[in-house]
Amino acid sequence: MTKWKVPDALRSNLQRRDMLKLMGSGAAAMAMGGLPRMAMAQDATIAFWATATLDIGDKWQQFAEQEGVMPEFTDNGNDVGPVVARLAAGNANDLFDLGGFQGGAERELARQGLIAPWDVSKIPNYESVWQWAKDIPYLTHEGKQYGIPTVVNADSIIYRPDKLGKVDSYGVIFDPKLKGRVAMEDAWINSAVFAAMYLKESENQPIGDPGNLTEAELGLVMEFLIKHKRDGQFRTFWNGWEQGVQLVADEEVDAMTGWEPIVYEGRKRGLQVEYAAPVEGYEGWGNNAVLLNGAVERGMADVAHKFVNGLLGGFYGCELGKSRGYMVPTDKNLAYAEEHPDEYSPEEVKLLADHVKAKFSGKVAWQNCRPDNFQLYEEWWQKLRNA
Amino acid sequence: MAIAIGIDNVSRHFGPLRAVDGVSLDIKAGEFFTLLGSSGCGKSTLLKLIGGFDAPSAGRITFDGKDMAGIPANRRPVNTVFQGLGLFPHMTVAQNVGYGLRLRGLRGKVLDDKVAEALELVQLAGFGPRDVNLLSGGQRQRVALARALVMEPGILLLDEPLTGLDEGLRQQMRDEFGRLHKRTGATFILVTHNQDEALSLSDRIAVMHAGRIEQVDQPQRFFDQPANAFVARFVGIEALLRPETVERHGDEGIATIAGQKLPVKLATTAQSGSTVIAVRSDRLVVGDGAAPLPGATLTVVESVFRGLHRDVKLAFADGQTIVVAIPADRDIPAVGAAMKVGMKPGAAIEISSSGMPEAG
Amino acid sequence: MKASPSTIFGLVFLPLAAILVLGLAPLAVVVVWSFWAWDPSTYWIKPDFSLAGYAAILEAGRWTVILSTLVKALLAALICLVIAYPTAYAVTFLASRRLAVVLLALMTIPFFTSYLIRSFSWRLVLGRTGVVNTFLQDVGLTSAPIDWLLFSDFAVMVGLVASYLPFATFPLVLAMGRVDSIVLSAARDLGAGFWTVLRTILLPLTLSGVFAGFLFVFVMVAGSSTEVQMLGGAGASIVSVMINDVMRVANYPLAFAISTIVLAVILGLVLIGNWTFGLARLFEDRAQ
Repeated sequence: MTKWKVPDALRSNLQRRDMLKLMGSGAAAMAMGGLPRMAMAQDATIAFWATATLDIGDKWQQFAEQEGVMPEFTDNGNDVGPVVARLAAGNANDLFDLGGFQGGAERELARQGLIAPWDVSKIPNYESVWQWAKDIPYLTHEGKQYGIPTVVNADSIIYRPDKLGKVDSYGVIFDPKLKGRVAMEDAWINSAVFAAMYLKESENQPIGDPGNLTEAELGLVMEFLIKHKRDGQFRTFWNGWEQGVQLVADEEVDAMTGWEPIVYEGRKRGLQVEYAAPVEGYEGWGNNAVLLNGAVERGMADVAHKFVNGLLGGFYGCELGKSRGYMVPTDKNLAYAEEHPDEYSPEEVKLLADHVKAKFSGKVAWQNCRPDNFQLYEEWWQKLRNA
Repeated sequence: MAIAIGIDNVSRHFGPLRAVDGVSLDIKAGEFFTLLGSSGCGKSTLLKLIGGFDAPSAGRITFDGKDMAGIPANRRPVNTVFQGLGLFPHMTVAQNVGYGLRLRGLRGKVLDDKVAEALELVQLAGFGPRDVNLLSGGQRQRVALARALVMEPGILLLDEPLTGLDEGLRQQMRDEFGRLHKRTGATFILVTHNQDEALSLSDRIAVMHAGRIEQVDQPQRFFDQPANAFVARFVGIEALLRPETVERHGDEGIATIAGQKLPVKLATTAQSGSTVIAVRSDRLVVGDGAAPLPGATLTVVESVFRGLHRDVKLAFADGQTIVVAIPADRDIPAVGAAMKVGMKPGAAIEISSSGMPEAG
Repeated sequence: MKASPSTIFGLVFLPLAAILVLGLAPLAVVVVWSFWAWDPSTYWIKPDFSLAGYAAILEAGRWTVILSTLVKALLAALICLVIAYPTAYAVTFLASRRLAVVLLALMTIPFFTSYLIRSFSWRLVLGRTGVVNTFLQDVGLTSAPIDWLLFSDFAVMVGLVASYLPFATFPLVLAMGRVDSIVLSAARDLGAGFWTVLRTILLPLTLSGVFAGFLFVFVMVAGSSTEVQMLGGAGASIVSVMINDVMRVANYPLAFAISTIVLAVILGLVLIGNWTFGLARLFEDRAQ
């Protein structure tokens, strides 16, 4: 405590990695989350650094009994920027073996050599993964498999049929007749995709991939959103589950883009709410398992493969479906439920699977947490805020 | 101009507590009037009612015959020197003193002159630019006084103004009050628990107790004719004797105490209820001078050396005692010896026993 | 008893070190890193001097957010003072001791719930089907819900004032507690009516409390995000929301540059205020 070394440290040309360590120990303001538990280098334990919603808590014990691998789970905070920063410049690769990241950053991480390709031959259950999930565009880089889809689903519009009749287009969000009665999410990662899908499919605008817009496409989409915002089209932009539910439950809006569970919650509260199947398609999103380079260096690659195979083995899918309504994209879930009807109801598992499959039977634009022009996305989002 | 104050059956109740309980008083214009009593007797509450900082629960207060009900403190021709002073800590001495005049619209030279004059009056000439927080206790006292006097009030209220000052300063400020009263001619009302202050300054004094007035009189009357046992004790007449009988002849009488007959001055007003005999120790004579005077022969109980004199406690046959002072150089009277005590005229006064502590 | 210099040093050293480590060190990091370059591919900074962070503030209307944040903070602080001053007056000079304690306790109640819940509950009060709109329609003042009550600057201001009012009230209660009520009586005695007493005596004597309350609310609002996110209209922003956006893409130099500017404004405000109003006076024992 006698010497405070920050000024020295800042002046010298320290390795970025050292600086991140400094940051992790000193400055809580960095919003990097708490220090992760140290990964044990013992057999059959793997350090899993993932979005918090992938955690099944006490149920990992049962998972480990079945699959022979126990995870040390650490929340990664979900936002991809800080996650990549800790991989690129921080000690994340020293601490963790396996990532469970929002889809989109895989190619960039692969390019920088921060993650290693999977050997799908060592993941027998991968074969059971539904084809459209295997086709998620950013799972592969230079022909190698970098992401294994762990959780998938697709979002569209929550709406009130008693007010609007049947809704089958994102056009409802931009309909001037509903001025002040609609909302979108307070995040470009969702709202820009929805607007792009609408412009591409229903207004025939020149847009390629709604999840990865070029500079020109992004300008088009964001100007469109800015115009509607200026017109007072949106009641608000919402954040988080409670706010989303409240908007619907207290009749603040008649339609908004958002997550399907809000529909279920609304119905639970006696409201007539539906989830639209838009002609423009759904916004698909995935959370994918990636193999961190550190795991390969430490010889943990085989354990990691075994663990991911376990994630696709059925039990995990049943548990995640039951606890959060999330979909692990494989029929193994149903098989497991049928073998263990005392644990999970096969009917419910099938219902969820069929429902999600149906969403993906039509058009889908994949949400991308790290579009090529992500800096411009952020900048445009500020412009939208300040318009 | 001095203002006369009428207090007509005024009460102030705080819940069940009667802080002021049916008080009636007439204070003459230009009088130096003192409300004297121990803490909690209601004297400060009565002062607040006069100043307009509180309203009576019942009764009427008039200034020169004009009812003051509903007139707030800031519109009464009254100024106050508060206990604790209440100097404005963010202002200089001159700003403090000039505060009230500024509110009256005075500015510039007129204001400055009046402030300077007031400061001179309280012997603080040249103190104007000073920080009030850095003055001594006596100086602060004078600033408060100047601040009130500069308003040329018809009535000046002084609420325990000398509390907290050391003895020298008290003496000095006391003289100051007397001088200023003569200078300004205003009606001064002083609230104090200090008998010396009250006696030396006042034209008249009201002794208060438990929200009521026990006696209103000129200072020496409290000794010549205390209204009752409470007042007698309050002013320092400790010897209060219970007589067996009192024979009355006009305004003179003979009281019998433990078989001994003493001449007593009777109360001018007819006494109803029980009475006691107050004995003024300053009118008792012992030794050679005692023989020609009427009096009693008592037994010495104890004697206590007091420096310039010696207090000798003497007992009647029934155990009631009085204390007489004898010169310190006189022989110490032996305990148990008999001693003749002579009584000058007016040494014993028959008074109401109201306020007499239970014999014990 | 006189403490030796080494004892004093021992007593002061730990708190001082804590202040340095917990307070100043991160601030220094924020300021220094705001001048470094950012590599978008790694989302990480490089120790090369760069003003890109500051340049980016001039783009996309980011500077207008800083400006509007300061305006919001100013307005909220002033509204809080207007409400807090009479409250503090009542607590200090009008209420009985027991009532004063009860009132102060009531004022602390908002601290028992999180900002999240407090802000959220305003949505239920001000919304289309909320208490206010229901009442207005029931009594026939309006026939349809008033939309601007919620998801508007009005709603944000209501939320901010409700959240941070105690931060204005408590310094004022503290400041007024230091004013001898005799001083107020003396002013009245000398002819001052209520408003004159307020203007010439109470306000000057409580100015340090006024400024402390102003500063607390101002700083809290400048650092707030919940109220704007929950109660503001579409895309409503404030500095903290903007920083959150920037941190999502881990653009540290930009986030730190924004922080540095806001810090500089607040620091300037503290210095000016202390110089003008004598904030330190709040902690002084004045002879009186």
